[in-house]
Amino acid sequence: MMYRLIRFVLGLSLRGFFRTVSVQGIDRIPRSGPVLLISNHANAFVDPLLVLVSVQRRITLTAKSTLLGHPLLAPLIRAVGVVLLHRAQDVAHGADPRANVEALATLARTLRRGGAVYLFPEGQSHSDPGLRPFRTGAARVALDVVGDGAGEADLAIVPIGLHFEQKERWRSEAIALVGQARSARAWRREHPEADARALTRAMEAWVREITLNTDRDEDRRLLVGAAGLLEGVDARPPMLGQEPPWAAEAHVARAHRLLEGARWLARHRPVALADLRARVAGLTERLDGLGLRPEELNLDLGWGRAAFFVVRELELLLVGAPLALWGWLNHLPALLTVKALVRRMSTELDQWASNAVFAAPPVFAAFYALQVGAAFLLLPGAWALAYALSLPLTGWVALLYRDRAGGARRRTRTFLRLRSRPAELDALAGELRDLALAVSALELEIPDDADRHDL
Amino acid sequence: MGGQALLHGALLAVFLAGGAWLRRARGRRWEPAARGVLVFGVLFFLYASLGKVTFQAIPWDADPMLTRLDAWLSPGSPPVLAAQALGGRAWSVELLSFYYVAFIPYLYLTLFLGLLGRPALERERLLVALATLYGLSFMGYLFVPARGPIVAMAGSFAAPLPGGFFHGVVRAAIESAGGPHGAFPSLHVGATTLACAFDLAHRNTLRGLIYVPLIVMIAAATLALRYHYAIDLVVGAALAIACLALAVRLVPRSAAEAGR
Repeated sequence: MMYRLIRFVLGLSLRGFFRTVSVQGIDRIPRSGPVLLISNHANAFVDPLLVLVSVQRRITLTAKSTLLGHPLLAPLIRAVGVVLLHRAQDVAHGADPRANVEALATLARTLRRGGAVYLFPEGQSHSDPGLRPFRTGAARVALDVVGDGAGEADLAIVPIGLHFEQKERWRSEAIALVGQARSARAWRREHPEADARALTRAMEAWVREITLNTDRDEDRRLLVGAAGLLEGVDARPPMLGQEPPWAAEAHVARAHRLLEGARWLARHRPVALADLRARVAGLTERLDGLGLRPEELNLDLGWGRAAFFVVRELELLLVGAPLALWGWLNHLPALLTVKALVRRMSTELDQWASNAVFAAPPVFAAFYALQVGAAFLLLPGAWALAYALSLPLTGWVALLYRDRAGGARRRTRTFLRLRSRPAELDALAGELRDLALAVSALELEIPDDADRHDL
Repeated sequence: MGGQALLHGALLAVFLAGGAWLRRARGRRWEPAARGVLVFGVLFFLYASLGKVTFQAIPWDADPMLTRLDAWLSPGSPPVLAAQALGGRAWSVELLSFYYVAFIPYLYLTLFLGLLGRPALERERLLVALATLYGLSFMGYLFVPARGPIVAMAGSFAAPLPGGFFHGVVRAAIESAGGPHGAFPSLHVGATTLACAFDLAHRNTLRGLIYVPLIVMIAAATLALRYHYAIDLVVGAALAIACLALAVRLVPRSAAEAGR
């Protein structure tokens, strides 16, 4: 009951912070039986929450032992039964790595009972452009459960790739991409002599398949930009409010193919690679300068479509304005308080979203209590009740209204810009098509299995 | 009467011809929108004609039964009489009448945006759900004929409704459709509930949420303006949800993707 309540509240908070929260391939997580979920760790507490709020079955989480000293998190950790892991780097703060033996045994027991456990084998959240080396804890737990693979005991190991549009930014996108489940027993039977380090390497490879990993931030930006450009060649910009979540699986597959190609080119056609990099960087820069996304080059510029857009958006913006304004007025003090707290508490990029998601529920609850209490003191009962009911509804409207108004303003600006500079639009669209053709031509030269091993 | 029968006959012939023409126009870009217009043309035409014929064709009056159902729903004071408190002043009657009238632009805008701006699957579902709701509601008007509290309980109200421009518009519109009729179920509540639930269920959360207060006010207005019993509202809303669920089942993804 407590677990469900906390999941509901944190789910609301998470969806208040991120515009889109989506777990893609959720059916790959078995609904029953022992499951070990493993993923990259890019956004601190937000990472497990992304999966926790979307998966119906109960998931046992792990956290660093020092969090028990956090006044807000400690009660939550106890309430949802988080297993604490003691890291070597936290010894100065009271961690005792010897206690990990018992912690890992607890996780193994949970799995043997048919439970689900979520582990982050990198050991800590970070903002690197690629995965950090995996630690062996997850593999040791898995091997502890399946033994030598001869028995009936099995365990599904499910890799998850966590992707953030911009992890610290309010109202951005957060996507969890679930990879193919692997049978730990089958792996054990195929590798009877292998130890936990071998399984750890396999786990790392499984997570790499569904994440984007480069050595440098600049390379990552270029890779994401190139994948975005190629996806935008034939795509049409989605209707506002109907945007599908970022298609992580296709995007990651394309980015991996690009990365394979880039590595092959670096060895065999370095000049062609340098030329491609320059073209991608140049086109991305020009589009960014104009505030355009690649697919917006295919925006329907007909006046009929534009008139329909105006009717649709004006209806929403006019009818929704009073509710949104009411929502903003009533939630602004709580929002500013959360913002101030987050600013004060966050020193790293991967702390902003987590601090906001965990600070928001108590702050908003306190403000709601104050506001509703004051309403019942000052207003007749029916009006106070109406006021209380209006708070969550208008708060949510205000949030969605902000997203929509921003999208409408942006789309209008794009439309006017493209209408007023048709030659520039044609040149950019031509450059994008040429780039796609050049990539396709190079793709034909690259063997299918090129450099897959070092992705 | 003879002239009206002729007019209705001519309109029906136009609708039939339109249906036959649309069958031949399958696959054209404008066909879905034209089909939607035709479907709702037929439905709205039927609504306008029902008021004249129902009370002549069906020999019984459902108002007493609906009054009893209301008493069962709310054992104390009947909801319609309790709602008098909402419509005691001219400004409140005007406000409620404004919301009552707002049903029309909301519904038409939903249809316009739904037929022109939705993907095929969602457009089909909206059309099927609304047409089913209207069809079932018209059955209610025909077989549970009731004029509503404004006629059946006229003697029970403490005073006539004060009102101004908007209340006048509502009254004139109802008189032009043959006077108060078709109380059970409430299409005002049913159609708006369906439109709102449809938006909420089909990735248009903002539009769904911003109309929630409108639906609440329309429901209050139908009671306070004395056109509906509480049971009409409950059944209207329940029918709306059922029709939406039915449409989702009836229009599977494959049918819409096949280009329907």
